[in-house]
Amino acid sequence: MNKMGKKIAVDLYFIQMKWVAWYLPIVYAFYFAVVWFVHEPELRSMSLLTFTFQTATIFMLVCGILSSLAFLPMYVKHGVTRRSYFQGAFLSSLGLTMTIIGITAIGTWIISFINITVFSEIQLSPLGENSWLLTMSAYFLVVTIYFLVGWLVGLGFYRYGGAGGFVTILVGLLIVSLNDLLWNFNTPRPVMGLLNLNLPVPPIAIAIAGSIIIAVITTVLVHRVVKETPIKIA
Amino acid sequence: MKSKVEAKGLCVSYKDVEALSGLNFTLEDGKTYGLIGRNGAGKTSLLSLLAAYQKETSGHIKIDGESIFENEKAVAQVTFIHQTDYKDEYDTVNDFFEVAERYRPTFDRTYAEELVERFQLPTTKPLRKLSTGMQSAFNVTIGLASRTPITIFDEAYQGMDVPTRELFYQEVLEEQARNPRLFILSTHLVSEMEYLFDEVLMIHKGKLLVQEELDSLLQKGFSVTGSSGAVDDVVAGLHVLSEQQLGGTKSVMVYGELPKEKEVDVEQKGLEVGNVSLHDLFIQLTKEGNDHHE
Repeated sequence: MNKMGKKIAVDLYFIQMKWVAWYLPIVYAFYFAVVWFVHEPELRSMSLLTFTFQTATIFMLVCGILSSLAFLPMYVKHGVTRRSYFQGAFLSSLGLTMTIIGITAIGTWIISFINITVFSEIQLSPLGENSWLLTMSAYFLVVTIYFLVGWLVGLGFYRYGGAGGFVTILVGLLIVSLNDLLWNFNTPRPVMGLLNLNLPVPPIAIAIAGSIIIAVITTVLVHRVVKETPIKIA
Repeated sequence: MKSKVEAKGLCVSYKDVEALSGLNFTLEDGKTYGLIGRNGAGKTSLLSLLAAYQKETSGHIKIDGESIFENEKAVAQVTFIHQTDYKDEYDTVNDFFEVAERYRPTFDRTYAEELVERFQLPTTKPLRKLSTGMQSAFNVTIGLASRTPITIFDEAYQGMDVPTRELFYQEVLEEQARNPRLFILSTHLVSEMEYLFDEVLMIHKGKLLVQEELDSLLQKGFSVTGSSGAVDDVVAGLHVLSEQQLGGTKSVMVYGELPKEKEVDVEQKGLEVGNVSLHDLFIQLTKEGNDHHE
């Protein structure tokens, strides 16, 4: 990790945190409205953390797309290498995901002390009661993978245009679908959702190892695309 | 003088199209280079290699003896100013200054603000709301105030009115005196910007046609005017770039020097020998069918 990469990581973290400052309060408000007014057992048992996690996948996917389209050209124009940009953007995404999950976990923990009926059915996550560390780690991994997929797709379109970008969408779909097979979190997974595969969910250890492998492979793919991407003159 | 930029056998291809083929040149510190060439000649491709916007296909281009692409030390030395699409840009001039200040250690905010006043740019309006000429003036401001050792302006004058362009040219001259560096000005406004150049690089169809000091380049061309037959006799065997005829009078533009033995001939026949401008040389040297190579 070089000095410039760290500087970019800090800057990108704070730029994107401005978006998080909009996104989180809206999601929280939406969560309370849903728990309060919708009498659907599945929704009422959902914790703030699980609810936020579901939307954070898409939020970070969009951050990934924007990272390639907006920040890569900006940094190269300012005399920064693609390597430093890659390091900075990657690190900032980890920080961002940790922050979203961390803040939400604290909120979820506080809610667990509020003794009113609407919150009585809440379960932390499908991973079990009081599985705080496991739930947070698992959600962190999955959200990071969504960011990486968004990043890959954004770069795919930036570097290869329509046809090549479409290929990265297919690769991205494959990645998130495979990852969801490991966890069965019901994260957004177009196409695979239609197949209705009833594969058994693997043990947690395998799921974690599998997700880490998927994340590493996706990171390598992103790095491969980014390292010689020509910057557009426009 | 030590060369700052060096290119050897530099090639760039896009799929089957070769945009640059086998360029060799060196550029020195403290000089202003005019890069001229027709549309699609490869000017922007060359500049984008220098700014690490893309990687060369073969050959090499170096700054201070080091490859440029993905080299932190080299890329930090280059500012590449080109026309930029700001139609979706909500950030203001001041926002951009902050980023430049953070990532360009040599960026001079005070000077940038001086330029903003001179160009009369609004600093709090989003860039998308500025006219094309103002956006160009903003780009130029960033380029000048970044004060990087290598500063490139690629047709940076788009949409600027004449007084604004004059202001830009004046600033380039003054900056070169105050903070000497390597400027590259790529342009189509050859006659308007000619006086800024120390040296000229002329590119045609992806090849380097000419690299020469402006003064000596201008001496390489001359025109001969007089009666048609006499002119034809004198220019026979010389590299004729163009001919114009009006009645019995003919004017011919020649590339190269007038041989000593012909000087007498010119005098005896009462022909007039004149200078040519860079503008004329550019047009003639890059005209279809004129495949002149150094």
